[in-house]
Amino acid sequence: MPTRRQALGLSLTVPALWGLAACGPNQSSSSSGGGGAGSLRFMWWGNAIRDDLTRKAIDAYKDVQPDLTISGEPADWSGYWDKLATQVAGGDMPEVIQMDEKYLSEYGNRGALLELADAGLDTSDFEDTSVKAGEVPDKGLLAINAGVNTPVLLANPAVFEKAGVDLPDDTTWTWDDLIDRATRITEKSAKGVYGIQQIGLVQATFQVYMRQFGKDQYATDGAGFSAEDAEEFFAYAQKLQDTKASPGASLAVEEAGQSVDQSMFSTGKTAMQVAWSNQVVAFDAAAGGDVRVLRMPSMTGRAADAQLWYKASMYFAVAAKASDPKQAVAFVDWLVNSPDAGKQLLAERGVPANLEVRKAIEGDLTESDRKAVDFIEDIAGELGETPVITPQGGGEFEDILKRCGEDLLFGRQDAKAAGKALLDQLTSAISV
Amino acid sequence: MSALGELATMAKTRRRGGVKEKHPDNKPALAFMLPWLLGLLGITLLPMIASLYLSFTDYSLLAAPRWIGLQNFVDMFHDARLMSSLKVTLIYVVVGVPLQLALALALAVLLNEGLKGLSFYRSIFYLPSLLGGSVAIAILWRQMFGTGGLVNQFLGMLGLTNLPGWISDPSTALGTIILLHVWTFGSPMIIFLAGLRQIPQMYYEAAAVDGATRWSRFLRITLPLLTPIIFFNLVLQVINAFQSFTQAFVVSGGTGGPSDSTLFYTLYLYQKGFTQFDMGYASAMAWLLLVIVALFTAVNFLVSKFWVFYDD
Repeated sequence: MPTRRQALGLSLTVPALWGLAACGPNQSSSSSGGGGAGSLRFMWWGNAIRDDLTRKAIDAYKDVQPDLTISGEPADWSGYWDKLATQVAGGDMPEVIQMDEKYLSEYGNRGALLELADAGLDTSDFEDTSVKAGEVPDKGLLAINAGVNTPVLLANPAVFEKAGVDLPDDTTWTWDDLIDRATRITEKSAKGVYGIQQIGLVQATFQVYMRQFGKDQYATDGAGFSAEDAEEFFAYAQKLQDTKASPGASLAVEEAGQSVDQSMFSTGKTAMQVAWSNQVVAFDAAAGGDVRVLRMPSMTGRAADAQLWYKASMYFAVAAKASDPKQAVAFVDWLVNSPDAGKQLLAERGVPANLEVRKAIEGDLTESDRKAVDFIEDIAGELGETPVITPQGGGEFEDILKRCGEDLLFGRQDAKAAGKALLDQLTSAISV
Repeated sequence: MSALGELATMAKTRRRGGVKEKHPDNKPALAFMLPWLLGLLGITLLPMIASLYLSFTDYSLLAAPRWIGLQNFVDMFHDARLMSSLKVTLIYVVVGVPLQLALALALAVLLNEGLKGLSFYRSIFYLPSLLGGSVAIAILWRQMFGTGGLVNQFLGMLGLTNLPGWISDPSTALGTIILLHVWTFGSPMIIFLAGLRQIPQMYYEAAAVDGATRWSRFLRITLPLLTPIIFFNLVLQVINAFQSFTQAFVVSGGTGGPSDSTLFYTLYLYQKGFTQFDMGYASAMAWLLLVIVALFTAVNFLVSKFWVFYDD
C-alpha cells in the first residue's frame, strides 16, 4: 500500500515548480558578439524560396570577398523575433539582420542598430521615399529598404466570372462599390463562397482607410487617428459581415491565421483578398496563376485619393556592436546595390528599391513578379505621403486590431466601443 | 509493499542506524551527479535568481535592465489582460484537471478488471499523453475543430446545423482546449493502474462474501484506498495545468484569441516578454505564477488531511 510519504511527493513536485520561474532569460552581458575576423553572420526570416535565393546570393559574394565566410541563419517569422531578441540580450547579435518596419524603432531607439549613411552605405540609385522608409527620427538611416511593398487588393477572375460579376475598374471604385460587388458574388456563387475575406481584421486595410480620412495609423506623437475614425472603420467591417460580402465571424477569425496556400482566396472560396505586393507571387501560384492586382478602393472614386504608399517589405540592418562593421556594411551595400546580388535575390523580398538593380533584373522576372512590379510602377504618380515609422510598442497593433475586431464581429461590443478600445489599447502600448 | 513504500522504509532504516555507518567516499557519487547538478545550477537555479532580479527592473531585452523596485508588481494589479488571463487559466485548471482525473480513474478501473491484452490497451490509452502536448496534435486539433473541420462534418451528418467554429468562436474555444487536455489522461491513468494493483485482494474477497455490490466495493474499498494516489495525481496535474502553454499557443497562433478567450497566463507572459519587449514584467509575472501555484499546492496539502486515507 502507498504509505504516508508526503515528502516523496513533494520532492517530485518541487522541481516542477522550479521550472516555472526559470522562464526569464539570462541577464545580458556586455561582451561584443559575432564571429572573429573574416566571418559574418546573416540572419533572416522567410520561406524555402527565400532561403534558397539568399544562400545563392551569399555564395555569389564569394567572388567579391573570397576570404570572408558568411553563415546564413534562416528562421520563420515568429521564431525569428524570439531568437533575435534573445541574441541581442545575450550580446550575440548577428552582424547582418533582416528587419521589419514594426520593430525598427524598437531596436533602433535602443541602440542595437548601426547608422548606415555615416558608415558609407551608397543610396544614390534609390528613390528618395524608399530610403526615408529606413530613417528613424533623431537616429538616422538604421536600415536599408530590401524591397518595395504596397498594399494591394487581389482579385480572382474565375470566381468573378462564375458569379457573373464584372471585375471593378480599380481607378474609380469606392468602398461601397466593393461591398456591392462582394455581396453579389456571395449571392450568386455556390454555398461557402464569399466576395471578400473579412478585411476589417487586416492592418493594411485599416491604414489605407485612415489615410483616406486624411489621418494615418500613427502621427509623430502617437496614434494618428481618433476613436471616431476607428469606429467608422469597424462599422464598415460590420457591414461586410452583415451584408454577407464577407464570411461570418468564425470563418473570419480562422482566415486571419491562415497560410497563403490554405487561405480562402487561394482555394477559390473568396473572390478578393487584401495583401501586400510582395505576396502577389505566392497568391498567384496558389490561386491558379490568373490573379489580378488591383488598387484598394477610395472614398471618392478617384485613384489619386486612394492614398497608397510605398513601404519597405523588409530591410537589411547591421548590428551596432558588429565586430567588423565595415565588412558588414560592405556586404549590405552589395546586397542592395549590386546587379549581381539582384539577379540572385530577384523580387522575392519585394521589388528592388534600387532603380538600377530593378532595371538589371527585369529580364529575369517571372510573369507573377511582373504583375507586382507593374503595379508598383503604375501607382507611382498617385502616392500619398510616406507614413510615420511605427513607434516603439507599435508592433502590437495587429494583435490589438484583431482583438477589438473579434469582439465586434462576435457581437461582444459595437463599433463605437471597438473604436474606443482600439485607440485606448494602442495608446497604452506605445506610451512605454 | 509498493515501490514507494519500500523507499520509505529504506529511508526510515537509514535514519535510525545512520550514525553507525562509516563515512563513505562520496566522490564517485558526486561525479555521477555532476551532469544533473550542472543542469540544476545552470538551467534552473541561476536563471531563477536572474529572473527574480529582473522582476524588479524595466528590461526590454535590447537594452540593459533598469531597477524600478516594485513597479512591475504594482502594474500587474491594473492590468486587465493579466486578470483575464488568470481567469482563463483558473477555469482551465478547475474544470480540466478534475475531468481528466475522473476519466483516467474510470479507464484505469476498467483496465484493471483483468482484461485480455491489457498492455495493448494500456499503450493505446497512453498514446494521447505522448502526443497531446505536441505541436502536431495541436495543429490537427485546430483542423478538426475548425468551421469546416471533421467534427462539424460529422455533426452535420447527424443533421445538426448552425455549428460554430469550435476553435474560432470565443464561447467555445477554451472548452475545446480543455477537451484536448482531458484527452491526455495517460500518465495519471498509469499511476492509477499501479495504485489499483496495490490494493490487497483480500478486502474484495471479504466484501464479496458479505454480498457487497460492485459499486459499493468501488466506493468503500477502491476509492478510499486509492485516495493517496488521487491526491498525488491531483497535485501534479494542477501544477502542470497552470503551466500549460503549447496547446493554446498553437491553437490560437500565439495570440490567445479569439477575443483573448484562450489567453493563458503563460501565453500572456510569453507575449509580454518576447513580443512586447517587457521582460522585466514577464519575470515578475513568472514569480506571481510561482506564488499562485505554491498557494494552490499548499492548500491541496492542507485539505488532504480531511480526505486522504493512509492505510499504514
